Amino acid sequence: MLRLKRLEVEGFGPFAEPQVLEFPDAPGVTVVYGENMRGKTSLLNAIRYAFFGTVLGRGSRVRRLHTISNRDLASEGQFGFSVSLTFDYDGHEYELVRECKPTVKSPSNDEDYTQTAMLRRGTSTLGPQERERALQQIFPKEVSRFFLFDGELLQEYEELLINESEAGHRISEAIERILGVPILKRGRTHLTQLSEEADKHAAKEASKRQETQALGTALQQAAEQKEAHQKEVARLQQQLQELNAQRTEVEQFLQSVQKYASILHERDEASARLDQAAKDEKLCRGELQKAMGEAWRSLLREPVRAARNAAQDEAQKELNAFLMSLRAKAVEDGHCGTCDQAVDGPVLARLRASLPEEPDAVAAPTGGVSAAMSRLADLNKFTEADNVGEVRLLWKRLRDLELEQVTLRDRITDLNAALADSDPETLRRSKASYAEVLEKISVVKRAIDDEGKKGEEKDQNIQRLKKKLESFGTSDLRASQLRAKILRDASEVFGAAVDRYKAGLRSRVEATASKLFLSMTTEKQDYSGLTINEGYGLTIRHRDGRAEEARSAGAEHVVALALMGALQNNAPLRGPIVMDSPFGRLDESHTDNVIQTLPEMAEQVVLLVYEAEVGKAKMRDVLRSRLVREYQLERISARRTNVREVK
Amino acid sequence: MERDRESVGLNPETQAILAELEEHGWFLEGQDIARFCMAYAIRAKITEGATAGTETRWAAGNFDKTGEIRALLAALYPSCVTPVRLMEHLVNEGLRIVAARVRSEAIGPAELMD
Amino acid sequence: MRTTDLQDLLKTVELLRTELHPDLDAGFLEAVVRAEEENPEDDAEAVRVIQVALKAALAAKGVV
Repeated sequence: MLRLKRLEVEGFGPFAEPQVLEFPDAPGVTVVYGENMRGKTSLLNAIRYAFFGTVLGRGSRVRRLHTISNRDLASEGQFGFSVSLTFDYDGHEYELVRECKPTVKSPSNDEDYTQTAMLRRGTSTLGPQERERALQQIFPKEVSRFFLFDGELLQEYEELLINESEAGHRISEAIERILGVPILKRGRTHLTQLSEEADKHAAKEASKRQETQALGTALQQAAEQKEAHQKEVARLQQQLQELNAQRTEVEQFLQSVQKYASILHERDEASARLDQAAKDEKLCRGELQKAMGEAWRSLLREPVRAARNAAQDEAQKELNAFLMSLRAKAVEDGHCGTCDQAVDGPVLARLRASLPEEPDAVAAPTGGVSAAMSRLADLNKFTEADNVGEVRLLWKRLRDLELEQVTLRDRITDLNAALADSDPETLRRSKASYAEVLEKISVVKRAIDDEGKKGEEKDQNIQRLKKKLESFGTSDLRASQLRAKILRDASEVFGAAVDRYKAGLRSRVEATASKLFLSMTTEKQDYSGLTINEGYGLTIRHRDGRAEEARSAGAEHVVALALMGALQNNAPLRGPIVMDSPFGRLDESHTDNVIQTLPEMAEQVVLLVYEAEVGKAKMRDVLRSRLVREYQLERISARRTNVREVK
Repeated sequence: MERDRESVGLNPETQAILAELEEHGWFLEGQDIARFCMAYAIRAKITEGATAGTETRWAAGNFDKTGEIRALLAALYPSCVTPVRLMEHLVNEGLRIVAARVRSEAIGPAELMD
Repeated sequence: MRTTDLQDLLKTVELLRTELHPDLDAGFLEAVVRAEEENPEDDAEAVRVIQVALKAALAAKGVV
């Protein structure tokens, strides 16, 4: 667990003279009040700078260090700044100092500065390599977004709801990192890599022996071909990643032009609906295919019934004829063979009268099971089914889904066109490339699918050849095959473990996020919680079980905060949350609820707010004993701020 | 006596038809299409016969795991002594008439069952 | 901050081993998890450690 103890800044942003903030040991919230321009964001950045040596500006862009020096001091010819951060981690006290000093008298860009860093653990100072390793372990940069964030970063979480979005993908990856998934993923990758090498080795061994030479060579060739397909897939994926980044860049540019923001929004919504429709179609098609597997029975239902009726009639006729023949014989013999009695007098007369006049009309009994009876027995083996109604319903749904997709694709094309060819003045730079990037993305995706399929075919061939080879097995051949098998099985175990582990994490994150969301939302009576998707996006679940589609900016904000808290609660790593003005889009009731919930999100919370968002009285009233310290950022001049503790 | 076959095959024409029907994605596998088309042919009262020039596709034991189809053919075509050959013929004929309907009427699986 | 709960990961892997390949050496899989945990940024080292563990697993099966 990481806990901040003390932060000292000098020459950093508006803080000209050394300024100190101390964070109490007790769990709870430290609040720093400050008006706009006083340096709240600079404090967040000072912590970021101490750990990573970087400072972020708007749009999460890295800011040039030259712009960080206090401007008042700079006007007097003093450049550079330093940050010192003291914290506890794993039972040790650490002090981290990072300084940025000019190397020339009048620096004008980042090249004119040099940076130094020092990390002390207890009483000993760590060497550079050890320092970087320790910092990477204490606070990995990749997950810092979950600990140090502002309102803007919270907005990024909305991207999680758009499946195809590059930013969403990046955030999902960061979430998995904070939750520890990469270890399993890397394990699977390394085992697969080693198992393929082992396969190649086994094939090479086999090709050296006369009896297995042909098989070994074929196996080697197949493995090489498979590798070539894999390499191509990797290359294409890299290309896709670059194209997606390009797309995001252009989209960000378009987003910045107000006029296109709503078009982009509608396009993204349509894309999300298209994804859903494609998934639904796949499911529906699966159900239809299952139903069609049994449909032959429905087709034969009527013919079989008709044949059964006909066979029954025929069998009845045969039975009647048989009875008649028995009667005729009894009349002829004057004796009934069935009941072994004499037939005479009135009985004989009655029997004779019941026979047809033509003696030839009565056929002699043939004996054995009649053809009609055996036909009936055969027909009764048939299991009847009627799924015509089911097929009709599924087919209708499938066509509706196909139609919906066509409509959505058309709409997306129109919207993309609207993004690409309006206002040539503003979009001159991006319009051509945007359309091109989209086209390239779809081409690369298709190519990835194709290559993947080819790779799978090769793999099937490899498995077939391997089986054949196993039947030869000399002892050293067996050894290399065993080696490959262990690696393959282990890789399979790791692959399955990734899915299992992620599913478990997702449900835990969903449960905690729901709890936090319900404690922060003002619509408790309507909502039952949050539902998490594959990429860790959260949707609000209404009490009637449906997803709430229209969400206000405020609701998005609360959902994002709930996710932050849930990740903190479920991740193996624990640390402080430092939030800069997180209430921007929230009304008063939501703000109260969020403040109330903050102590449940992390043990140590540092909140940077301006008093118009939340006043001191309100803060004290809501947090009570969980408010552990308050600071005020005081204006000295437009370029100077001091930090004062509020007693 | 004429020997029956052990597998159900398709001729070049019906092989192409099967691939064409597979493209629609209404069925999970080729065997399901073949069984459906065979039933379609029976319902259309296609008479007994044999299809020449076929190439093996499915083992009869797999195609008719429960033996229902063979029993059914014995009942519906009592004079037939080679049920697998007949099964094959009905599959081939069924494929042809189903494909002809699908092509000319542009219909889907539900309409085929009406 | 530790980014992983090693025990949780190990438990998951062991569970999947018993479900999918109970004959696989549990020690080998554990060694893979540890190799990845200790070398998050170093592929070559992780692979080397896995290979050493594999050798031990093969030796346990009587294969040199």
